[in-house]
Amino acid sequence: MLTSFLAMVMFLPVIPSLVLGLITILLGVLISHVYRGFVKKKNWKELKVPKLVPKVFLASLMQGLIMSVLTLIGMVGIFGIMAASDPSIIDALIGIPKMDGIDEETLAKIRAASMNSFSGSKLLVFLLSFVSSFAIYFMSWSAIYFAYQYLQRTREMEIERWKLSTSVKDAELNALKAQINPHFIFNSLNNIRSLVVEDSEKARDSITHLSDLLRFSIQFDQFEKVSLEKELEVVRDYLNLEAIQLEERLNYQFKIDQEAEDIMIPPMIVQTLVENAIKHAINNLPSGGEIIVEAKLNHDCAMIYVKNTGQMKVNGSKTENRRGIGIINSKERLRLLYGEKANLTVENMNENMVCATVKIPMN
Amino acid sequence: MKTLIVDDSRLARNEIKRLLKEFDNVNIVGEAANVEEAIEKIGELKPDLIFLDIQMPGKSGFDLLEELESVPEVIFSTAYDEYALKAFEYNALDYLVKPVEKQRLAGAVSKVFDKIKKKQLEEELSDGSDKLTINDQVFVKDGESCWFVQLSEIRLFEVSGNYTTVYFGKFKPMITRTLNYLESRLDDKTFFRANRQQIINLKWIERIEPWFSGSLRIYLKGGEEIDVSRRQTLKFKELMSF
Repeated sequence: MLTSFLAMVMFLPVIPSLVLGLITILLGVLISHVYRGFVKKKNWKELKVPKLVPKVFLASLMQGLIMSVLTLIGMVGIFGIMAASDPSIIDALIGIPKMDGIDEETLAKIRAASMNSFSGSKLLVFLLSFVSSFAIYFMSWSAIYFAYQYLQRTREMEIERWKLSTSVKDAELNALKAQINPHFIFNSLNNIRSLVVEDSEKARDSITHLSDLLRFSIQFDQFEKVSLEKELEVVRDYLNLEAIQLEERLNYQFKIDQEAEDIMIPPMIVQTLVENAIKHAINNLPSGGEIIVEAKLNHDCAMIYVKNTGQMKVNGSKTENRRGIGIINSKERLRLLYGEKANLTVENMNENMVCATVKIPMN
Repeated sequence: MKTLIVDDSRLARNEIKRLLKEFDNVNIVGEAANVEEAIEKIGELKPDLIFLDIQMPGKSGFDLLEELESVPEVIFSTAYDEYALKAFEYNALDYLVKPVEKQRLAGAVSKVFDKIKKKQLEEELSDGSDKLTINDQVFVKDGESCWFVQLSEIRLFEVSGNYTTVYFGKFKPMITRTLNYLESRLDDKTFFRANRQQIINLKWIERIEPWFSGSLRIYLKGGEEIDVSRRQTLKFKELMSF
């Protein structure tokens, strides 16, 4: 725009050239704005750099062409208007300076010679230079635009990654709190001590369960995902220990489809749900209740259900809060790992059962 | 000592029973797995001592104590709960952590045994009515804080709205019982209804002054000033004369 503006100043009086300059700037803004809309619609910022460069190049040329044509039309229009009022403008345009002491005949000759110098090829070069100078502006505009977009995107990705890692850390912390929950540990140890006298075989098993559980809760931060089979081992250890405390108040069963055992899930997801079922339901029921853990594979996703005796209290919007940090954290982890394709819901199944459902998409 | 064990885990109850076998002065009269059962058993068996688990399904050990009018000696047992035990600031209390160490158990039992023996001696001197005497202890919980208070330590009961404020030491917690109920339950040799609002412990009186139109003003050792209503002044004089 600057070069074409300078070119115009050569030929035009100050005010019209300024007006023309302003119009070109406005046109440039308009075209680049339309271009931005187009880029957004086509989602170009998702493209990789090698794919993006030729596209941006072509688009910039196109924009340069449109811009040139529009500017030229504008220029011709303005010159037309001005020439109508002052024919001498034409002279200035074709590069004939004002000279004194030249008769009309000589002037006409000079004009003819000057006009001849505007050959077709020269005009083409003129047009091309116009187009390319505009194209360069648009290219640099695109470069800045996409650089900014990339920067923004990397920053967003960084934030997402950071969110994921904190939520995993939170889950770890909660799991640690729940299992290395001193209350749970010492109750288990006390129960085992009693079992040593009453049923030494069971006491030995319980010590193994407790060890496995502690091992997992100390180590699980090393994996981002575990197989359902491994997760359920931990859940079994946990339920085994709760069962010696709760005895006949706790019944539980697993209904796991064979092919679902190998699916990979974020660790502690099922464990959190089972713990919640014990803590919020079974523990508070004097006559106890039942927990059923189910898993099956659908064609594009895995479904895990944790059902338990009890009812979720529905008092308005407070229902969510009552489920505790564990569930909120699990939801957030699923969202970050799988997006909207995964979900976790907890709802009353019927009058005496609550069902927590986890849906995990399969790639 | 008639002893009741309250714990939701059967194995934990068995464990404590096994440990207590070696103590000749401990006679286990029953066990309970939750608060409701415990209240029933306490009413029925009148134990001298309860081993009480703090965390139980539904209601906690503290809830149980709050529901009791007069509280037997209590030895708390807990797997782990510093927070709950910190609530007790007033009097030292015995608690055991599970799994229970035998020596700590022996210490706690012998301490309680001495206390109960002393109490029984004093009770033999009283007339044996079912009213609450100064040797009975009550459990008071006010917000975050808890106390076991012997009735002999309480100077004053005072109406505050639907509650009753209990004055002892430097504390003034509130309890949910009404003053009329307390009057009916408290031993009238020690506790005197001074007016509509207040019941005073006669053992805490510092001095008495005559007040307007034949009534009395009583100054308690804690600094409280009590105006005795005219009607109650007559009763008070009767009570004090030989």
